[in-house]
Amino acid sequence: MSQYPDFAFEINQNEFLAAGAREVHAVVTLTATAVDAASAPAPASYGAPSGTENVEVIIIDCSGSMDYPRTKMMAAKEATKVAIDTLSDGAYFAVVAGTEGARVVYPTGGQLLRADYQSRAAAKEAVGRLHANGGTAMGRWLGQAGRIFDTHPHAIKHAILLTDGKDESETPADLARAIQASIGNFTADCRGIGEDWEPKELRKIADALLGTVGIIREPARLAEDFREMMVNSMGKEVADVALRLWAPKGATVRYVKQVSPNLSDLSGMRVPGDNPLTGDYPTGAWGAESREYHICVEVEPGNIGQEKLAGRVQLVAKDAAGATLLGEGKIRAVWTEDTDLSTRINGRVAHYTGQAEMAAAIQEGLDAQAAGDLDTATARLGRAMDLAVESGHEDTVKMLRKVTEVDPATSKVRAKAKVDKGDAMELEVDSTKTVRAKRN
Amino acid sequence: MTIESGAEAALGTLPGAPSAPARAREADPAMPLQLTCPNCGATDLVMEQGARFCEECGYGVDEPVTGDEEPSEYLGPKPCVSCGGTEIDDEGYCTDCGDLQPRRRDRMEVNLTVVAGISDRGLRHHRNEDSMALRPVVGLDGRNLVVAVVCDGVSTSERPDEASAAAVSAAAKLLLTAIAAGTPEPAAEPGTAPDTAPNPAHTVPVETVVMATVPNAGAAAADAPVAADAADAADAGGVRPADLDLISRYAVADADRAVSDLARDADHGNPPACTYVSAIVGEEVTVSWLGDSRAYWLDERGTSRALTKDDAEEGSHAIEAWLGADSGSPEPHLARFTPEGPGVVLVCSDGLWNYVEKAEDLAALALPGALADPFGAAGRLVKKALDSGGHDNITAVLVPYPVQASAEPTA
Repeated sequence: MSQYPDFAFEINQNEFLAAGAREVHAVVTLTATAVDAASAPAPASYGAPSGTENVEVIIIDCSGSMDYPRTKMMAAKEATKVAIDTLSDGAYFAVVAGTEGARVVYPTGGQLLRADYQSRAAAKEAVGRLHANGGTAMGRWLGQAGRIFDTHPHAIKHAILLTDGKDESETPADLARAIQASIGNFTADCRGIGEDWEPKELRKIADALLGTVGIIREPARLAEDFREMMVNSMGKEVADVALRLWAPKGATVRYVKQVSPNLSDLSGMRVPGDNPLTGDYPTGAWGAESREYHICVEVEPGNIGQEKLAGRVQLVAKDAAGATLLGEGKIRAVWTEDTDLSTRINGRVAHYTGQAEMAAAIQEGLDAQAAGDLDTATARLGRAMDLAVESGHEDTVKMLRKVTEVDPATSKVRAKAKVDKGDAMELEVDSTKTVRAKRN
Repeated sequence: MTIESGAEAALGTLPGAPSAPARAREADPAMPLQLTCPNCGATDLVMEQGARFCEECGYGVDEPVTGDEEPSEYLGPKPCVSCGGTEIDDEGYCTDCGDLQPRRRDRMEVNLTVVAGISDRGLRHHRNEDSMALRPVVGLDGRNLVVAVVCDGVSTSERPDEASAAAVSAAAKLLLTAIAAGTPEPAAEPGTAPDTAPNPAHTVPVETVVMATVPNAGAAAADAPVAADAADAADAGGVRPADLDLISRYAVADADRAVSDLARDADHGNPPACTYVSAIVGEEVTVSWLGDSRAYWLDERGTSRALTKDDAEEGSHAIEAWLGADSGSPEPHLARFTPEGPGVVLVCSDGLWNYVEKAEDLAALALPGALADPFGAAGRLVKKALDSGGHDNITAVLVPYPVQASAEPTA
């Protein structure tokens, strides 16, 4: 059967709590190292490495607006061709043209084909014939992708979704239902091109399907972005990995968030485990990569000197055998009267607490700015600027400068009354990217 | 008193035994003690002369019990100390409430009914550096005695927990063996043993203030065979009941050697060290000590008192005598006295008496419950110290007096 990457599992926390304290924080760092090609079983003639199978669905928005300007549609076709060329040999793939419906433009025979010279050429030809004409119903696009993936239930399943507009041809409830139906079936990265799409809409899809959101302001940059996404997707070696968290009776899991490379709150995705104290939080597919998670558990305070296991964190691969343990660690709580110990804040926990606060400040600040509430916008964006500077988040600092100005009277940062829409969208999309914590 | 009323009720039903209540009131020191096996929980473990093993599980009954033994396969896993959950994971966490279970040495509990003890880490120390060893034993004359030893590792020394554990085991083993065998023979080879013909200066027990307050002490000492007599008797082929003063001194010498053997070059001048206090409770009470661990006599007649006097300046915790490689082979203090009625002997570390120092206060906490349930009383004493702050390790061993078979007689 398939081999799994090696996972390095590390937990950083300050386990010491003051008397009566209930909140326990920890940052889990997971680093997967690729399966050694030499030790992997010999691939079948077309098999993907290490016996896993990849299925990729590329969904291209073909609504009428993609032709205004024409560069968007041209860039979309070009980027899709680059993505097809980037597919690993042997990976299954499909291209879907998204409008108010969702048409599979490749393959047309109803059965998925593996990527090879012939299938790539045929697919690229089909992509070349795409034209913009119709509406936008992303829920139906996801539904079509889901039906394609259903033919290969045990594969590593990933979709790329590109749009240039809002989800206008269906109701928000339609989209929500489609997202719900896709959870656990496949993962998806979403890209918006131009300035007429809604970042919050794509964020909903990407968060639920454990992917990223990106903004393409320059159509010429789309091809490189697609290539990167495809390389990343083809590098996945294990399809369905979950963080399994045990917390003691009486405890409340306040949150489980992915905090690196980007923020994503997994708290609402808990799937109950065999034991009422255990739940699984999906993390999607993994290749050779490193991610970090911030977990906060609220426990009943213990006596001074008592140690409690506040959480046991396991990384498990869901597979035919049920679940395979890839790594585990403990979140501890020790109550002490020694304030030198209990007031210490773990560097990683502090760093990602700051990053989460920065993301929230940016989103609240931009919302206030859009609503014309400049006082709130100034306060929140000012705070975001401080945090971005503190954590060395240079790209974010640059983007924040575009939506703020220095008040000549006070020489303090204040929100601009009028901002470029693309600048605001770019900042919003960027806000959940985090800077990795430095090694302690 | 629970013991008497229980005994009267039980014995009163026996036909043709009119003297039974009287017999129960005046303890029969030779009536075989019936214990609960500390290993398998069998309740019919009879302490008779020559008894070596529990008939149920083969557990050696001549070994001192310390509460630090490997958990018995017979008794099953202990439930969670916090929530009562029944599953504890391999790392010692309760799988229900997550609380880390105490390590074995953090809370050692022994309940042998005729003697019981608890040794607790307390709330401030990272480990329990106290140790205890206890057990009843049948003397050569068929009388029941109880041995209790408590040692408190010196915190500034290296591996003080190992020191106290080695000391209580060595001392208790020697005492139990010597009492059962009836000879004051030291366990070590003659060359390294303390002088077999003790220095005359040491044949007389160290006189203490305590001794002076005990009217019977002189008479009791006079009744006991002196070392030379015992040795003569052994040479002549006759064996007499052990000389408790002498074996107490040998026990200290053995314990001192056991602790000294733990010393290593890397100890930087602080080899493992500990205090020492032992009590042998029979018709009389023989105590022996070094440092600031104590023995008390507790009763309800207003004659509770300390039986030991610390080897330390008044109000200071800097002890002036201890066991270990740098101890200078100290001679222990010895004291003995014969109680005038029921009570309980308490052997304890300073983690207890730091909070409750006066004998009458200790008696008020322990009695009258300690007479029938010394384990429950030890629990109350330890809890008092914990509730008062638990700054040090706490050890309390209680021996009800007189030593006698339980209130439920066997056929």
